[in-house]
Amino acid sequence: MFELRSVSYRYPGFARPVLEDVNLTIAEGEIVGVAGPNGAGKSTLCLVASGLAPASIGGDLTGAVRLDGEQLDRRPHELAGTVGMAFSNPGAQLAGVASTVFEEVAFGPMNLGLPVVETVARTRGALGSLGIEDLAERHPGRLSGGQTQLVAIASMLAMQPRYLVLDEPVAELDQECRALVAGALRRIADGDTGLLVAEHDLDLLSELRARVVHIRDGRLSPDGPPAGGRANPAPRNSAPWSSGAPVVIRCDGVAFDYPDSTHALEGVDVEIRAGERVAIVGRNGSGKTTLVRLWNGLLRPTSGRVEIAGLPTASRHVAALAREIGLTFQDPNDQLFARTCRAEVAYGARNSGLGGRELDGAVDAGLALVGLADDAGANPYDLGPSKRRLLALASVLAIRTPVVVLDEPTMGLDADERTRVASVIAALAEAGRTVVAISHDARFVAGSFERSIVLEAGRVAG
Amino acid sequence: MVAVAATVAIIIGGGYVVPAVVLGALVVPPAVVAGVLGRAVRWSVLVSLPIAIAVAIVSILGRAGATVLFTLGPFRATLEGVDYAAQIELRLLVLAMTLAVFGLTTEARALIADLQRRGVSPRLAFAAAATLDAVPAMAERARRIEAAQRARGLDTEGSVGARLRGAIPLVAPAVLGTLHDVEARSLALDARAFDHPGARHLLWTPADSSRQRLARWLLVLGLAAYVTGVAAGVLPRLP
Repeated sequence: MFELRSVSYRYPGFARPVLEDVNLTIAEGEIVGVAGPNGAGKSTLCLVASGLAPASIGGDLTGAVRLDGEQLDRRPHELAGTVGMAFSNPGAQLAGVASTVFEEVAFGPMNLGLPVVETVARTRGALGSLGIEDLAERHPGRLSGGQTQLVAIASMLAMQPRYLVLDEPVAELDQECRALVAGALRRIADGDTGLLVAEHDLDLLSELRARVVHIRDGRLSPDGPPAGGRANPAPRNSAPWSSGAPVVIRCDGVAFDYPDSTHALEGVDVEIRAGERVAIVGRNGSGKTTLVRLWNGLLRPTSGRVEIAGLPTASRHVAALAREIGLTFQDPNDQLFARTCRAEVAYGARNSGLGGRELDGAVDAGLALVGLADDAGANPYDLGPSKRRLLALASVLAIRTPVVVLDEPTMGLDADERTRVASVIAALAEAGRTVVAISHDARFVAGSFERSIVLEAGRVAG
Repeated sequence: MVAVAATVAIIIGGGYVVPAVVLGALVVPPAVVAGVLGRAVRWSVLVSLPIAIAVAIVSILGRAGATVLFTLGPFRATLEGVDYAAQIELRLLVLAMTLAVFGLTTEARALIADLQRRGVSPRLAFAAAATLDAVPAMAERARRIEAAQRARGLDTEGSVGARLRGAIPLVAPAVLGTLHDVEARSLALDARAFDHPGARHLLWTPADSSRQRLARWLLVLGLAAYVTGVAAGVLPRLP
């Protein structure tokens, strides 16, 4: 039995505790889901439960974290074979020294000093349980986000902990991979491993038949019933509008190969008209991000033709195309650099030629649309990860491009924040702007978009 | 071992012959065999150029000598200064090439295995290997940042002035993101028992034939002879 009794935790340098008087038990083979909005303390609870806080990051812990009645105050490496932790940012979990996924997954068991035979067996078992044996010889740094997430979870499974803590384990996964992870976690629990899963996705917790507890402002509410889920609607591939609106994005026979000879796209024909709301869906690594990067000139097609507003992209600079297509990226940390949120949002708008009151108006409107008006003077890195994603969205909205393309805009967002993004898309559509989004979030796609383009292995399916 | 021998040889000795021999015999052949000569040359020139320019200015105009080539205000450019600058810059280039070829041809896992085989602690071996892999990881991050900022109108295809203005939006996310990742990676390593004491049983060890061992011993002997020659004054040292 794993238990937290009256646990409060305060990060170093913070005046107030993030967790207060938390009581939680996890039995062997039990799955406990922790649900709650971003900033409620889910990730902190994961760090405390895994023994990383305060041992690795400092801070003050009061109360007791016990395993089979024994206080867990050991160093993290002493806990590693007992309690494992998979983080929400899988890329940062990679050891960074492995040449293959197999070596990456084997890294933990090797650290435990296990014999080679056992390390190999555990690694094969972990890869097999997630169905990713085919990734074994791939370089871990060249996987899609979802594949990296699976490798990160496999790396923890290979440690064979008695209790496994997972912080948003399906945040970056497509429906198929998500189902794979859900099945694997269920099997792990059936094998008597206790799981603590912090997750926005109540459907996942329902599939896992988890006992769900809710957290808000660092406090747990009494244990609740299993979350009630409903099946996610299947993506649909449909024909473009036959309206008379002009075509703003056209791809004719587009193919793209990366320099390492990876065939990302092959024979892609796409037509999107002004004012449409279109989702691009498909498995991790199916070429979705590559396709949208061809639209604003960040990538140039190996063959075929891409036209934006009737003009081929081949002869146009990215800076010029950025005034027509606003594109948000999956990782907001790759773009945030300014000292304040206001300055961050103003950057792209200023580059597009806005100035004076028009610029101020665009910045204010962008921040207000995503609900960050009160954070205008804050440093972007003082915001949580989900708010940083919304800030990146605001910075693209302020450019006021006729076409807005969003790459996984709801990744890591809680229910309220997802509703906020949906309302942003509705507002853009009402203003007659074209919205395209790459998303694995089937419910978001069904609720906010008129049609979907399904990509499979670099081709438009169907 | 090749990188160590090449580095020591070019640091302690003078003249042009030894650095040229090191370049021709120890650095270029492995680069050619591994197919990384072009990348190694580009990287070396890029890294050593700023230092090379500074060395050239200071050495040529600041070093005393009997043969004055020309005067520039209060400064006199001397032939001795040119000779000194050329010797330093040849070393600089060979050193940069040596590091580049080492980085481009060494697998992190091979370095870890080799260091641990020689008794280096797993933590230190990991740190050395992570440094080796940090360069391509940083390059990948830089590509992602550049793409994100270009999508917001950063002009990397325009004038030099426009490109210079784009430096902060490119550099700041790289620095902040790296700091953020270091913290996250440190926690992830803790969770994967990185601090666990005791030996690791590695899955793979690099091949090490008797010929390779012989070559390493010959390099050690050659290096020892060279160091002795320089110390005895038989071989040239830097002026």
